[in-house]
Amino acid sequence: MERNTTKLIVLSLFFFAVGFVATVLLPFMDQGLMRPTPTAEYRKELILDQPDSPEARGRALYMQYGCQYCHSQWVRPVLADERLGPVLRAGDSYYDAPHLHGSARIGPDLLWVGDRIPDKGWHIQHLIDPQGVVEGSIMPSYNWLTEEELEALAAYMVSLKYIENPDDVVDPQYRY
Amino acid sequence: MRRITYSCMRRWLFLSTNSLSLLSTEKDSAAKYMMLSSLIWLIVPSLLGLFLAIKLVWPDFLNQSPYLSFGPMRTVHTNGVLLGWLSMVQVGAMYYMLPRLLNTTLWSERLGNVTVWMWNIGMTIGAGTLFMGITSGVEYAELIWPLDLYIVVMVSLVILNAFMTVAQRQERQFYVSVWYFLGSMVWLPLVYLVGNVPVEMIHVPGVHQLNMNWFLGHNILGLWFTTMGVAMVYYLLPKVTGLPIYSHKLSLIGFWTIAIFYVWNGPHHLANGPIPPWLQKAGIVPSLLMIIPVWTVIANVFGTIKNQMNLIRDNVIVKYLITAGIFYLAACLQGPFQSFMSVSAVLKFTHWTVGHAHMAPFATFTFIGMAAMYYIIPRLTGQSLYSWSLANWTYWLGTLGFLVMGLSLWTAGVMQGFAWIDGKDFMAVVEAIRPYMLLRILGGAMMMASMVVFLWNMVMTVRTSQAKIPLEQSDQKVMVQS
Repeated sequence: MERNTTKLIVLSLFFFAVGFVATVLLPFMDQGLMRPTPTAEYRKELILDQPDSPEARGRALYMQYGCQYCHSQWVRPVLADERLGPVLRAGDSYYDAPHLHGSARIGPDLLWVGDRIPDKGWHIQHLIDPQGVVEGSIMPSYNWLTEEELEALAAYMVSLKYIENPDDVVDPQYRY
Repeated sequence: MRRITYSCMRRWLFLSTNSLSLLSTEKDSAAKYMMLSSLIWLIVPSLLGLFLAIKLVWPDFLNQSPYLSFGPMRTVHTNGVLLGWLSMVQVGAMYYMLPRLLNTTLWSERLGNVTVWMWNIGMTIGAGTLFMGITSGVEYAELIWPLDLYIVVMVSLVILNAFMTVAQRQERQFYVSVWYFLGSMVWLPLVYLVGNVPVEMIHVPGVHQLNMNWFLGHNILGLWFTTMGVAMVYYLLPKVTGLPIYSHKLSLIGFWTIAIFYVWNGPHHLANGPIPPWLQKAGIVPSLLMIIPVWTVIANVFGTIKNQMNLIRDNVIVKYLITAGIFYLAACLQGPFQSFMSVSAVLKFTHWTVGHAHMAPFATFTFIGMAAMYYIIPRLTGQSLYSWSLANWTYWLGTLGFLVMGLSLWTAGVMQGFAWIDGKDFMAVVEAIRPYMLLRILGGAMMMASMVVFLWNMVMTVRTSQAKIPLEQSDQKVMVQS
């Protein structure tokens, strides 16, 4: 094998394939990961089915300005997230394209921000002047957005809310 | 006979040999131009990184226009240093090392130069689109699908060149670096494709997107930057020290354990996330096993120089490689630690992760890239390095700068994690970590200074008209005097 290119390539591909099948393909067999929740259905109606709605426009702006790099949309069954609302379920982002779960909390989690702050006016004011609304905030001002864009982003923020789901586990399994 | 076939193929691919004067056929020109142009993508995106750190303390810094706002700037920072600088310097090093390891020439210098142009043009367009907010929105895979296709074509040309070079080799035996280079060539396109499935066209449920997103996020590091970087270390260390690698067997164990375990690691980024426990564990357990390949590299690096530790003091390149090794070990101990569900419950989403995410790309692979350029660029230009003392400054500014930045981010992260668990007000935590964010700017500024000194040293090495000390051009086991 120390001289044979073909063997080297075939084996490298094989080990890659094993890990790929196990960690990427196999999860598609898991029915629990393939069921949209009522929250997902709600967002589909608002955003996917109506690409011209303010919510859809707001989501595009959220992505365009990279809000997800500072704001996660990901509540975990752990102590640190206890006050952030219901735990994120696999089906919640079923229709999202792309997902906006994020990986950092430089600012607060926004998964259920619509439940916490349902007032669009607050969001618009906060986008224009973050420090005026939240003292000491390190969020940059988005005062260069047009009024229509601010409205759209606020509409998207408010749409991020939890829809009751009869299948939900009341007490999630893992707590750290 | 085989040689004739290969040269015919080459001629067929590049019919008009003289009309493409931009594309040099000079020996090693592809390696030289790839490495030198990668410097643009070291300096500019890193400077943006420093701006981003400043924005996290003074949010209105450079915030007068949408193009300069945090999100777009961050995507240019990450894509620039990863797809630009690191990938380019590693491919450039491969263009230099692979032919020498196989006792042949690069199959096509012209094709190599095509990829140099494609890389720089692609990165420029990519940075432009990202600044304009044209993004796929997926972390570390932000480029939109037409650019992804462009990259796939470009990488295919790199792969073609690498494998044709292997095919026309004179040396039958593969040195371990060749294994690592070829493995990287096999894995990169696959990892990239999985992570860049255009979900706006092909529906993939959100949670699977998340999983594939981190399949890319993790494996691009493990099966591209790591394997390319380790290949470079295994080439440079014996060359620079004149000492044989401690154990060939150990290096092969390292290669196959990376091949077997690394690809499983993606799901550990989703610890405590909306995926079933079996998948979380399928990601976490192989993370622990990663200690085997890491250990083989570390044992080999230290084993090689164990009787001549003075080399670390005397030779800047050795100092870089050893430091890179130490940070590689640290990053790979930190990684499995963070992947535990209980630890992740504290540290995920905090600045700790940001510190971790900078360690391997900067303190390991950027250092290896710099070491490679200190070794290769003087050999390609026929000039001795402009200044070894500046190289030493680059080393210390970079190392200390990273330690300041890393330690401040890790401390801030631990504070954030436990404060959130205690139920502290979010803004109180932001206020509490502000001093650490200031320290991070200081560390970042030192890292930036290190890169600017590096750029200066490289530019002066290329521009100096007369060689001060005649350089041993052959690739005999020469000692680099520092």
